[in-house]
Amino acid sequence: MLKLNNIAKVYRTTDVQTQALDAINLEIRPNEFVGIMGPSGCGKSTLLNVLGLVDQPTSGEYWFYGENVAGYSEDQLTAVRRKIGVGFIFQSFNLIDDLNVAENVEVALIYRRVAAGERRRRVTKVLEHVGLSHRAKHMPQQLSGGQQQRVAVARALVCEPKLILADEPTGNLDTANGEAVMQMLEQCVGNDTTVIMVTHAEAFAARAHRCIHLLDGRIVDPISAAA
Amino acid sequence: MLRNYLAAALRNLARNRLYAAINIIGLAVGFAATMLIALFVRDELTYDRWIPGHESIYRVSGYTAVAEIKQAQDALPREVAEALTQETPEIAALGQLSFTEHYSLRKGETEATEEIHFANSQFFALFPLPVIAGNLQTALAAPNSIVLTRRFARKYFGRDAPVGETIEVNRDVVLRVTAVLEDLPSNTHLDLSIVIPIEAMDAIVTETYRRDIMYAYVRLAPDVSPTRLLAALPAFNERHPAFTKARYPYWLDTVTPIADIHLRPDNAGSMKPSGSAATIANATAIAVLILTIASINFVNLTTARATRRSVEVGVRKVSGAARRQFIAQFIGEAVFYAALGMAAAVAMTALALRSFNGFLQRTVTLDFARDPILILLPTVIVLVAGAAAGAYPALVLSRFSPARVLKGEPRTRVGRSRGRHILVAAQFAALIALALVATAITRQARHTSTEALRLDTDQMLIVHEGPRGSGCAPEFATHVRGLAGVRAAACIMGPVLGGPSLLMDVSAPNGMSAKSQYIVIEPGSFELYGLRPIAGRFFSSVYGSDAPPLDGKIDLAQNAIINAALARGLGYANPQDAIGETIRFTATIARSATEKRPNAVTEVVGVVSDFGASRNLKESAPPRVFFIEPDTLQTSGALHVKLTGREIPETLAAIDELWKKLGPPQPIERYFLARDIEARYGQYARLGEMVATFAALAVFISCLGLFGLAAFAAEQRTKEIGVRKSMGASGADIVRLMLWDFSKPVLWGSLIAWPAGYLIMRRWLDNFADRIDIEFWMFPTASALALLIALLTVVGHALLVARAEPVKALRYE
Repeated sequence: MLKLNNIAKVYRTTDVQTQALDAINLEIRPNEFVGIMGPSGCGKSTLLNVLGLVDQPTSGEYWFYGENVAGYSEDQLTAVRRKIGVGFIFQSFNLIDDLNVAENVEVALIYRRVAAGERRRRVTKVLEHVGLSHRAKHMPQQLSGGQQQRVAVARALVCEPKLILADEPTGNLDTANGEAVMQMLEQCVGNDTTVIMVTHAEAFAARAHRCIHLLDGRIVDPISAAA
Repeated sequence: MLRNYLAAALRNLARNRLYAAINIIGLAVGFAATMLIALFVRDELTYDRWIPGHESIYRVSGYTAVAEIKQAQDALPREVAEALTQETPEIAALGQLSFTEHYSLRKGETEATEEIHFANSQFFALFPLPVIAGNLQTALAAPNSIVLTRRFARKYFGRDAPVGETIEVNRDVVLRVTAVLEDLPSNTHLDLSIVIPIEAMDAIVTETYRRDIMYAYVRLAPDVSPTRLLAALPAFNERHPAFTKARYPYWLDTVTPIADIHLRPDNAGSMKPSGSAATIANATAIAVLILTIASINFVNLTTARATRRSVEVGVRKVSGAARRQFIAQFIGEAVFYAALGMAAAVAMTALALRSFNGFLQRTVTLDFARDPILILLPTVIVLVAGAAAGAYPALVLSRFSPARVLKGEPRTRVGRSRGRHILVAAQFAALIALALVATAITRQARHTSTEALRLDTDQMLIVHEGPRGSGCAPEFATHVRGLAGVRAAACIMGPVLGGPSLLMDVSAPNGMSAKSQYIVIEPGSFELYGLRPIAGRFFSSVYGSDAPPLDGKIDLAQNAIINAALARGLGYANPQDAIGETIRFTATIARSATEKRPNAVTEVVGVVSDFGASRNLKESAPPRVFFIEPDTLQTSGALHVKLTGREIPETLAAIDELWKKLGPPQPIERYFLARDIEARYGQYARLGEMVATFAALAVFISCLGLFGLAAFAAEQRTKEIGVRKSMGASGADIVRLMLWDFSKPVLWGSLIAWPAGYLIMRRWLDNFADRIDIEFWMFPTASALALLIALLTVVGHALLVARAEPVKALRYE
């Protein structure tokens, strides 16, 4: 379903060249829950962004649900993301300050041309699912960090994505809230949905079906990678 | 989707109230100023275009000439116009209109001297002006008719439609009101309020000259081009030596569409001061500058704020928003802001219109229903400004990599864009240039109405130079001189300030000759105006030869004073050289002078400076010769009275009383010379004030923008400031750093503004023969002022940032 062949990503500034990813070969199957670990700056987020089609690899092949998307333009990537359904969850929540909870969640549906009535129904449903329907009209600033991340999870789930990418989703949360978010992610797995999560927390990584370790842009645990 | 965008836009506006207010107010003030200027420009460009059928109406005119020196004259002898009409099949109708005359009107207790015009019966057929009562087409058919505007109908009859009522002119001629006109708008070259048929002239106007010379308007037959009429004029002149060799010789050579009259240069005998392309160009340039300044603010603040919305962009992007959707979103928002600004601007314009009209003496209206352009233009401005302001964030933000934005990477690359600094520099360049131009216009206006006149016009009262009785009647003049509030008085016949006058040709023994104005004065006239001879002496009663004996004998020697321009014209490089020279008048149209002294010779006893100015300010003061001619003064002179400045109302009342007792039976006509100066040069002073006002508005708008940017920069650079402070920078260092950052655009702006301002000032001053110098101090002063204002605007934010604790600053991001 997701297949990376010899993927590399190089960032260039005028006089510095950074090899963020180097010779990444990886395959992720449907319904898998994959953890990505590694020290800061090892390329975890870059890999996640490439997997989620918000960043382009410098070289290599990336087969995304049967389509080699390496070399696609931004607009093409956007179209593929819309078609497949990709949900994102960030460490810093990234809610839009000027929109309330329901509107923030709704954003994920707007660009998929979902009719207004259907949007409302799905937003209500997903907010119930994350336990925030009573907060639908609140602004992000009025919520706690845990609640904000649950809104972000709801936003990721509302489009019924096949792929959920979570970048340190528990990084800014206390233990209890982190656990709640982890449970939600675990519930998502299956039913044709794959979850890939970048994390620093060994305990949370251990709950994934398998874990990939990165160091300096390379996958360093061949056993996990080959599994 | 629209609801989602709108919610984001409105909440963003509400959350950033300060920025929204700065943005919208700045834009509104800029738009309002632009609209006012646009209305003024439109008024200038639409002179007489509102008159039905104006396309086929032309003014025919030409020139008179003395000794082959042409002088364009807007009005011409009636017989010339009538002959032309008879002989030219292309002319379908002739309308004739007299100069503005001053006569008294009386109805019951209400009596005053008014500006009156005489017109032939066809006049209103050519000019179907808006009428509120009576039939305009037949209004001048009967010789005892009078047509008034609404204002004068109300003044004399207390109502709008006194058709059929009678009114007296000069207390003896009774006229009947046949029609009432709507008050004319400001955008017409016609300065009409009271019109009487030509046939009534004989009973009212005593001077034949004033009866004979009139404006001639023609309506051309359908499908006749004015060039055909123009081409026929030389042959007409040829056929009529009687006209070209008359005492008032006249050649026809000009056919002007009436809609073009306003923007032609002033000739002798213009009804209103003409407009100028330079004024329109300057006003338009100012409007564009202000619009640019306001738009730059808008673009800067919008783009600066937009960078705060990168998270929104990132989230929308990963949710599948395409670039064109961002472009639509940001441009849509900017257009929305611009529309709010425009709505406020329309309200401001409507509120300001009354004072604007009062100030510029216009009747400009903001009538959306009548003027589709008033809807179209603001719409275009809103769309263009909105698109410009929205395009930058739309294009830049939509290019953001969501991966980076959402990871919280610094977005300062856009926040501190060089583009914004360039725009601020451009804004200050415009501002400084505007300030320079305002300085030039205001100083020149003051110069034109004061130093350039070279006359002490303070507290100078002019008493009656009407054709029916002069303020110089000896008994009246003597009593006026004796009043306590009067310092001195002198009789003068001819334009002191400059303007059309009787002309004569003067020749010197060296064979040189020059056309000269002819002004009659009496001893003490120059001294009254604070003038000193630049060579020789002024007239004095101790020299018997200054004045001719009162026996009316012809060809008597008489002394003359000439001005410096005539001395130069006669080839005397040094005014002193002209003293003692004998000059001769070889030809003249100055009737009294030639009738008495054809080919008279006279000795130059003094040279006076070129005081006063030509009405057309592009030309310097005309050559002039001054004589003493007591009998002419007594009948046609005006009494120039210098008041002491104390007890003015009492003195004026005493003069009025003397006039009632000793003057002819009609109301006294008196005015302060300042009124004349205002009428002539007021437009320049007003333009100067207008530009200065708009420059001040531009300063205000720029400061608003700078304030917003300073707030933004303070917020953006919190982390940098924290780092600097933790490395040992003091509060003063930080303030200096911030202030220097905001000084740079002003300094760069000056680099552009100085040469641009210089060129515009030069072009403007070229309109004046007697002009101020462009001095170097103006440039650094304008820049220093701009810098000072800029720094005062941003210093608050700089202090705030400098006082912040470094820990907080570092935690900010």
